[in-house]
Amino acid sequence: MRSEGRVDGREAATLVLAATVTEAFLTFPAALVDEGYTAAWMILLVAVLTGALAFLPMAALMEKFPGKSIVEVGEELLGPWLNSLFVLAYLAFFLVTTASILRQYAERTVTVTVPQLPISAAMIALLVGAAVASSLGLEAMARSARLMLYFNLAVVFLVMVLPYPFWNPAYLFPLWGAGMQKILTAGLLRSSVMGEVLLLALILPALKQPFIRGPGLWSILVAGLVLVPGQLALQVTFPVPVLREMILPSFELSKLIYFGRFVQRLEPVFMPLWAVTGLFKVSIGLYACSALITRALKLPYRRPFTLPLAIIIMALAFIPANVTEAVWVDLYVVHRYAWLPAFVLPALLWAAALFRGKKTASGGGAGAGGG
Amino acid sequence: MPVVVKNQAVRYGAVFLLLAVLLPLSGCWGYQEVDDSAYVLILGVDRGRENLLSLTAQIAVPRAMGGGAMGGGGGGGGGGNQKSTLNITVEARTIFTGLDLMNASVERRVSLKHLKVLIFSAELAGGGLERYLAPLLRYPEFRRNTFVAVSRDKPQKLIERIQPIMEANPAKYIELLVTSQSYIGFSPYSQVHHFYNDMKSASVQPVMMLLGIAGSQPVHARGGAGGFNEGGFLAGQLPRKGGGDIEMIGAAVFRGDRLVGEINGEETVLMNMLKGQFKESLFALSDPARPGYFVTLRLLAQSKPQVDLTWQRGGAPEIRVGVPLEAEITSIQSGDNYERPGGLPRLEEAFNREMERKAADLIYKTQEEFQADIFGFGFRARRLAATWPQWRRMDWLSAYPEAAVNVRFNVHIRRIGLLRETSPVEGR
Repeated sequence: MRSEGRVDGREAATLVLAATVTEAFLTFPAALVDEGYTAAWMILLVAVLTGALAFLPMAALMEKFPGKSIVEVGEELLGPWLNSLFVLAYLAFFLVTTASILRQYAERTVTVTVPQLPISAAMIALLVGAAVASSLGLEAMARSARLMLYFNLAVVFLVMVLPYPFWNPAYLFPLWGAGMQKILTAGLLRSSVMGEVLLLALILPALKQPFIRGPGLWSILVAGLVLVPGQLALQVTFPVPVLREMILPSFELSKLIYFGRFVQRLEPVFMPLWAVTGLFKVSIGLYACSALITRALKLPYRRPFTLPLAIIIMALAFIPANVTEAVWVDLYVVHRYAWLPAFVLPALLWAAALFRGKKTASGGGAGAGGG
Repeated sequence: MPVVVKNQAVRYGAVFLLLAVLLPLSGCWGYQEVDDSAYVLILGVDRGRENLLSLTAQIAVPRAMGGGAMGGGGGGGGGGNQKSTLNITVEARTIFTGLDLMNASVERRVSLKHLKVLIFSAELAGGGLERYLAPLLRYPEFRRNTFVAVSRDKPQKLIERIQPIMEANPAKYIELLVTSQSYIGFSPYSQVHHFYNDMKSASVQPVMMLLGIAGSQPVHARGGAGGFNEGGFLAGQLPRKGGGDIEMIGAAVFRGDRLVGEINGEETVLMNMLKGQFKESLFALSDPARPGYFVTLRLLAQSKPQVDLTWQRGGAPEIRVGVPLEAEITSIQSGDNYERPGGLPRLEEAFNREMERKAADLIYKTQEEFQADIFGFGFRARRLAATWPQWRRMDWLSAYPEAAVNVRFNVHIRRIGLLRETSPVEGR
């Protein structure tokens, strides 16, 4: 059955938040410094604001079609054939982002903690957890995400603040880094990092209140409140030439914590956060892919897709020949162009809905969203 | 009823399966027991005689620590009952292959997870350290908060002489030694993090702690009637007898990653003050009214120094630094009552002028001899640029030697200890 139970807006927003902030624990902050130098944090700020604005057409679209997911809305507006292209784009978005995160998490696990672990074992461990979560369904994932939210936020806050003896605010100067134009351009492209908000348009039928504007803006805002101060914490601790070298800046930050002989070596405390966010991200991606296929093909059951999709995601994750390629794909392909499927396609649908609304209004027919 | 039984069985089965799944999570691959590792506490890196590098590792012997054992291990020795550390030296082309080579004679896997101090020889540091530091930072076991120092003597000899006297735990000994700068001030606070950041920065040049073996490089210190300055020494030069074999005073100055000079303990205190890293120190001020007598002040940082920098296009930078300090009188040898109103300003004035003279000498040295901004004035210069490309074009490190620097000290003597005045000695 396609019914996944009911989740409220806050729980759904927490899922989006969990999927969005994952990037902060990987190489993304270092890549931002390459683009914005001392103003890399401003790129994130622009990305958050752009993401919030770009989300509004999606929210407006979904409000016109209460109770329907973006798959059904697209089909109604564009017809099944054209909509199938849109669905493929959404599917590619979730598949590629999930595979990319899976590969990076597995690589980092091997590099940092268990160097003799085969990469496939690291991936399988994560995918098994994700497959279980995805099988349990949206309600279970959303409740878990909500449950872990305050713990995760507290830990993120500690990682940001505890290295304060190493802070040097002068590292933030020159204030405008790469220059205003480059910051704006990079910020617009990097709004891709907020693309996970597309999930809300997919799970809308499972929401208790059929509105995603509030949950979407909340998740983007809170993600911004995590990502921007997180980037600032990194930038006041490491100067540009050092931060840009790092592969796991947030891990380096946690390793740095030192308050004398008794309070040091705290990074194992932060490991659960790292693992849980990775697990959430892969689980959400796996769920989203299976839900998309089920809805697009109008099938009654979603769960049978879990295992095949897990295998496909793992296969995709193995495509990059090495970790450098995997990181490059994530940073310069996925998180530079993901705004296209995440924001532009829903905006096109919204435009189509407006056009159809005008047309039907002038023709004296029923309003848009009627069915 | 049978349905209930079946559900219960499924539940118990699921719980059992979940618990069983937890077992391999503890690590089938690459697991390493704590007592399978040999934890390096100090790593010395020097130029090798027969190979490119000579590596000396001081490894903890936990069994001996528990029993309150004292002293370090002999060079390459086997860690007897009374030795809490084991020293081993190998020659290799790189640090990591050297560590690997150590495993040929150490039964446990050599690990850098608990490395406390990394020591480079002055000779190696003179040739540049990036090629040794950057690979360490790539290595997951290495931590950026590891302390880092330059040894004026061969690191192998220095490490062999590191013998905890009051501590059974060598790791505690090392950490206490290197963090003592917070209340002495004769050394910079140098962790790899700071050194590496400064090495890559275009705003400041790095410094490191300076270590030496006691008495290895004695200087003839004869101060005459006025005595000699306690901070005027480098590691290995202190006029003393007894105590530990290791001395930590002064700082090694780098330009980029190359060692270009040394500053003594007092200059290091001044550098820390100008850099905003000073915490606490004692200072013997020559009595302004009675030569040959001293007023001892305990100095505390009041706030960060105020650096004001202007830089006209085509001209030299102009830097004005204000150093606010607090002080407490700990002794007045002459017995003159400086505690009285009007007395303290005289002391403050004398102190300020003396420190300004010393600071000017140090700045001159950094500009002429080292050509290195070790004070981080460049951090202030960054604010003059709007964008990163502009800042790179300003080329602060080349401009610093031409800068006009004016330092003003502003000490406030807040406390006078437990004597409110000194009564004269009768019959003298």
